[in-house]
Amino acid sequence: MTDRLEVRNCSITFNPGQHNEVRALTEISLAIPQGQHLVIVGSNGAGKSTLLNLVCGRFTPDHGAVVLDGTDITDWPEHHRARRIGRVFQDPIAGTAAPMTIEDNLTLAESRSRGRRLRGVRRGRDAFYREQLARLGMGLEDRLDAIVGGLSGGQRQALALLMAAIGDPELLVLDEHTAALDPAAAARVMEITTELVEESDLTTLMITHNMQHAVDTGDRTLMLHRGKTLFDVEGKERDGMSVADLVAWFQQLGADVSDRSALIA
Amino acid sequence: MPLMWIAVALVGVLLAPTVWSAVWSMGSSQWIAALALGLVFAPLAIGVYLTFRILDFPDLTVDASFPAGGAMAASLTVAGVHPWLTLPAAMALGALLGAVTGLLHVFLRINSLLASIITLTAAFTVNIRIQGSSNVSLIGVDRIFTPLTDPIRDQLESWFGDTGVQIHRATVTTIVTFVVVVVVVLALRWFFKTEVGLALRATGANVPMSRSQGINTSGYLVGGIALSNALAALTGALFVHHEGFADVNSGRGLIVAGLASVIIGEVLFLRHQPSILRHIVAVAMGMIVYRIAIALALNASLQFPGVGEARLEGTDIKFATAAIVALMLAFPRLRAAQADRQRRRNR
Repeated sequence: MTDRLEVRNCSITFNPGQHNEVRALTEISLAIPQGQHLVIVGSNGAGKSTLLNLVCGRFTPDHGAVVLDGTDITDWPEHHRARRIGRVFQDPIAGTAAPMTIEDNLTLAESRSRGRRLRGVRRGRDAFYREQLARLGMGLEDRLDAIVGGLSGGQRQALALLMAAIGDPELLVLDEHTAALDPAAAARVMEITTELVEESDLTTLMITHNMQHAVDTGDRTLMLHRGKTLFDVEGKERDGMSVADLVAWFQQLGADVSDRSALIA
Repeated sequence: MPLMWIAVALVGVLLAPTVWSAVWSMGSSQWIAALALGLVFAPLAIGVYLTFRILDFPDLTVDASFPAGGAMAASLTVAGVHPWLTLPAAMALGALLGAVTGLLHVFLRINSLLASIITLTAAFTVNIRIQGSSNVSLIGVDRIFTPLTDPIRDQLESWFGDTGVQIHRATVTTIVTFVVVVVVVLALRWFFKTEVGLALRATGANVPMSRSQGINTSGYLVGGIALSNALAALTGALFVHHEGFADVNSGRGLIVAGLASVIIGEVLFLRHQPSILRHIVAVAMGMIVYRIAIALALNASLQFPGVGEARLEGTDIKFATAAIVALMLAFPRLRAAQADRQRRRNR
């Protein structure tokens, strides 16, 4: 089986040659097989977000390559990669266009993968959009003409998730997408995530600060520390892992456990 | 808050008789002239709305694309090109100027205002080169309105009879530009509902989101600014056909007039969360109101018993417009500051 995503020996340095030079990623390599749901954890500054931005095309590596389905996409601009990669940001405001309607936002997402044309929004898609929105269980299916700016953070994030997953992208990238939500909304968005990912068998790269999510969701857990992979577990080994084990790892590093709920757990 | 409203009310009461007498002293031809100018300038207002509101890109290039459109229309018409064909040619030149501003910003990372100032400085030379001199007269040359003047007069007379009211050239301009503006509005309404149009709106609303949805935000920004300036150039061309002369200095300060129309349209005609069509129509109507307000201001005279009267000159309008736009832009901030003080007092 070929790997869906491959990061080959990539390093990223910010402000190279200056006094504030930072090595964000150090010769990192990573392969995600098709259909896998990988969860990445790590303390602040570990390089998690840098890794996602490397995959999505906001940063280019100093050296190394990013390969999606056998295609080297290292030099592709971000908007070009977005045809094949769906992404949800941490900030619910970042993932949707506030002054536009729910329908407009979904149309934007749907035309992502095939290129945009000077063609009117097709009325015929409403039924499909309603059906998709109904899966969120938030009553948005009756509000296609509602302006997105008027929705709650949880609703916006659920919509952003739906938009990222529409058209079954080759890779779904989730950047701490429940971290900015209240606990109830976070739980609901996480449920929807699991449903969407499992139903369409989406290959997923997810960052989380929530240790419970890191253990419960996905097929594989990877911990980054100072730009390197610290551990990478899946299968039986991962099944036996508890939140306490993960917290122990963090404490061993002397790192802050950034998730307060993890300390309670 | 109350203080501000009292001030507004006081000014209103003081000015009311003046405005009232100005309304009645304006002849029908003056009303129609104001309406014609409002319609001529409506595409420019829509263009300013496009950059200022939809793209959130403050763009001064309209000050140059307006005379550029005029230069194109004048020189082509004088050269014998069919008058209607000068409109798309003018729009193409405007789009080019807008694209230059956009490219300066996107590729060279030049600040938006500075980029547009650079373009409009360079465009001055371009406009003079196109025109051949700083102003050109179209007197005696067939313009877009010329062949329509007689049919429109005959038609109006057959409907209303010979009312004795002279059918001014502004009447013809009003009717023809109304049709042009309706076409522009409908075309934009269609465009903003296409996939490309939605992507343009998204680019202005949220850049990170747009990129993550596969939108080449740099390209769309350049395209959007080009479209905005094409509309300003269309206004420039219509103005030249209406007035019968082109002047390279005619664009100065138009961005402020455009902003004034956007704000007037929004304040007078919109509730919150309007559709894009309503917004565009409101902005166009804002320009008409702005032009009528100018006509009224020029007709008004403030009487000071025993001292004499004060009248506004045509050259005073820019000051008045700038002051009003500054106040309108400051208004939300003033209101927020007021609310803040109120909160602190209540605590």
